[in-house]
Amino acid sequence: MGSVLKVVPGALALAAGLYVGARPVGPVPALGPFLDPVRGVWASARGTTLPARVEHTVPGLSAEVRIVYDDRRVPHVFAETLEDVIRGLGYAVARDRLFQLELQTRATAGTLTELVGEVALPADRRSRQLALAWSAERDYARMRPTSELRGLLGAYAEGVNAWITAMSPSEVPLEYHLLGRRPMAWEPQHSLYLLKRMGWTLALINTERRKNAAAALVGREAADGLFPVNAPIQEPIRPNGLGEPRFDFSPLPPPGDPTDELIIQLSAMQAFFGPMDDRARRGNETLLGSNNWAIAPSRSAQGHAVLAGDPHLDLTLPSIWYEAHLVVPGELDVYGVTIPGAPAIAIGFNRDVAWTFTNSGSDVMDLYRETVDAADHPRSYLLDGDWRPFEVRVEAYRGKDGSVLAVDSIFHTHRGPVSRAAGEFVSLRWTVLEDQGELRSLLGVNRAASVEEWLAAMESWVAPTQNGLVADRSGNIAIRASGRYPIRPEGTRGDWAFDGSSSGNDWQGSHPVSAYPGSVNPLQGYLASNNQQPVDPAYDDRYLGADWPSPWRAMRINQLLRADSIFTAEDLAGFQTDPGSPRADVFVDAFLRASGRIGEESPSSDTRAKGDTGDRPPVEEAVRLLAEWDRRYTKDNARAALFELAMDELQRRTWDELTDAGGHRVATPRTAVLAALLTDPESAWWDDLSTPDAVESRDDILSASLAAALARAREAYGPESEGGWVWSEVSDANVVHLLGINAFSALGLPVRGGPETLSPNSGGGRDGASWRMVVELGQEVEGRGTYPGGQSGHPLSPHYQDRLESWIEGELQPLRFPRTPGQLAELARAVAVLRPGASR
Amino acid sequence: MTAVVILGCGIALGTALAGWWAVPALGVLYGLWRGPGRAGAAAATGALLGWGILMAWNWLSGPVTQLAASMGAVLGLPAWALLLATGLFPAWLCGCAAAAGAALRSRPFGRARQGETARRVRSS
Repeated sequence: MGSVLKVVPGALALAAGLYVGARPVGPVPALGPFLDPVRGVWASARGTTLPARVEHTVPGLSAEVRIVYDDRRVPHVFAETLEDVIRGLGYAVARDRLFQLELQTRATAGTLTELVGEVALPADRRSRQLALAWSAERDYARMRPTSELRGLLGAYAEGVNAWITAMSPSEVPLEYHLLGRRPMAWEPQHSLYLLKRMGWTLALINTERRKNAAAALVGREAADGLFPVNAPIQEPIRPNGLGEPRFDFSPLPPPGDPTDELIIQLSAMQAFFGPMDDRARRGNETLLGSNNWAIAPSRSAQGHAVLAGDPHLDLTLPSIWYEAHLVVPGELDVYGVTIPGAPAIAIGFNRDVAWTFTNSGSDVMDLYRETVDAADHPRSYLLDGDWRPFEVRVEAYRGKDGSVLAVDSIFHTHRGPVSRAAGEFVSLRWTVLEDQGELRSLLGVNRAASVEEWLAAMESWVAPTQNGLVADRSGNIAIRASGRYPIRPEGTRGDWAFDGSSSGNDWQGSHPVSAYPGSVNPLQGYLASNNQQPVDPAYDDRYLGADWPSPWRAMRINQLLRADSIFTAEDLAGFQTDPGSPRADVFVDAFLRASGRIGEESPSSDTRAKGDTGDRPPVEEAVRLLAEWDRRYTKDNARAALFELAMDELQRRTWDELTDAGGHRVATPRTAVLAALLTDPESAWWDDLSTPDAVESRDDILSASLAAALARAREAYGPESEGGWVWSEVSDANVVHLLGINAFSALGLPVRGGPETLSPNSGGGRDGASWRMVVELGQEVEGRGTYPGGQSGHPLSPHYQDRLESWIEGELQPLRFPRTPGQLAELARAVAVLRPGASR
Repeated sequence: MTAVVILGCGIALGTALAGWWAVPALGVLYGLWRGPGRAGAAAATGALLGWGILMAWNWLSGPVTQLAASMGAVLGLPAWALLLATGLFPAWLCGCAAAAGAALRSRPFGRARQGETARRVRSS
């Protein structure tokens, strides 16, 4: 008995050690595999740099593939066939971005719970409700087994999986150690998931939601005015020949009575896409802002076309983009950025053409209120007098240990997935869920040899709709909004939910490619797009959508490109971080005029010079300070902060009718609409609801906003003379790790640019230029570029965020574009040789 | 001392070949071999030495300190705590396993040895 008792303490202590060794405790992963110096987290210290040379076997290869990494860790993949080069790309992407690949795929598939646990269940439910993965699987199943596309998807998967098999413990991404998981195998259709995910990111348009939310408070007519189909300032993508912006300001209808008839539509959108956050309610326009522009040889100092592009997206570490160069002699020689998971270059250049995209906020989504046979357990929906059965998907959500966390039955009509909202069934039709053609387009544009071929390749593009800008070595430039644009029933726009019981309310087809907005070699010698309305409705009033950001960025780039006749590639690169702001030009003048009218006297130059604050009323003091601003969002600027607070106050006071019972503004109209309102000084919208005994005018509100802004600025940033107002102190950029881990993020980056400048930044932002590129299409194509991050997904790698510095400064790095591995010469840093054979 | 060094090398090799489970497994074997006494403390020292060798290898190959700081920040711990845990965890595991092994030996093996001694005395 005594001997047994001797064993017990040791055995219990051992059991406790084994327990914490084998099982996670709270946020702490299982200590055994985590702390294991050979296979655990510490092994990651050995995997921060690439070995000079590795050799691996990859199944399916027809010949050797050589991947040469340059000094920026960009893989140059040299292969003999298209499939082999895509295998090499899959291998290279997985080598640097394996965790990102899995996270993106699971986010789309709605299987994040299997990676991170039950905390992800709401997000997973929404993903599966939206049917993104379901539609990707359907697209994949429809591909002919012998088709080129299917072959390439399979080749990419083989490359990814070859890396997963070959990688050593030191090369397992850190995130897997933290989560206590191993990488999942990559399936060919996962690449299609990714394309659906891009659709979700770029074709989820909240304008109708904002409009509906506003209509619920101020009626439909007022909401129509606040969220107009046509932008009140026109600087369209397709040049309208005016050579200047066209202002189309008409009086806004006054606020009307609240209505509850939109509750179902709002609830349905919430069921599909989740609640609108503050950013979505504001319309994102101060944050998001992709740009592109190109000049023809006639406007270029070097005498050849030059193209510039900077798509703006959520900024993450690692970046959404991965740079790569793919070479198949005689067939493909393309450089640019790919999205991890995509078997093609998305934005870049080859030996003949360069291209880039901005998002087009076209309306490609509609809701339908369905009539069902039984509200509790529906099996059919009504269509033209007949009951049609729902297609039903049963979705099970599993936890990290494989146990079932929840099960959902998701219904589909012929239009798309159905959600239950406010007691009704609403189905969603969205081009993102329809046949994809994006991959075919990308493969075509990667191989295009001219603008004409490039435009032809883009004809199969479906979603998200994109303004594709292209230039070629022959000096041609062109832009076209590509994607599927639905034709709706006569007289409708789909901004209110359709009655689903009639097929007459279904889409009637889509516009032909010949009708897509675009321009080729315009007389003005340049083209530019900044997400604005593509065509001036005075010339073509077809309905394409209503989500057009205020065209301040478009106005600015057009100002810059009209200001001179000849530009260099450096000029175009400099424009990408230009701090000028037409928005500031309009509103600063309005503030100064209004406040000057109210103030007894304008500030004198003497007092400005002395910086004397005296006992001047707050408005006069604010006017003096604002008048000092040069209207540029440079890093050291000390007045932009005051203006932004004044804009915030102005919007709060003007749109107080759009505040719900909880004190939240449900939607914010575009600042171009606010600019239009400035021309109507007695509009009912100016009245401040918090002062029932007074009726305020425009100038009252402008003055009060400016005075309040000064008080806020001094409270938040201190006295203006003490340096707290410096723009880079007030407003910064943040590039956040995919799991939101601060230690792996780059936070508080001082950048140039403000709301609605060409490089927008609005303070504490997580959005920005995700890739900046300028390409000169001379005898030899020369590209320069950068993105906020680095090629490696390993947080301790020297290439995890090595490009941040250049990105912050707005500088571009030369992109190596060798024809052969030998041309990289001393710039080569590592080589991976992939040989045909079974993976080990 | 030699036994501890050998155990440390064995644990380093065992971890490299079989993972962290090698630590308690070798600890139990060590306890069974060593028998009652200070087997636990010796085994803990050996485990510390074994993982120390492996950590030194990591240290020479990459930025372990930086990694410790980053991972510590993620887990809300100071960097030294993670490094300390990396030493204490195998020491605890191996020490407990050795103690349990030694205690096991003190009973069945111990009886066998007493019987063997008695037989030797009788035969002499």
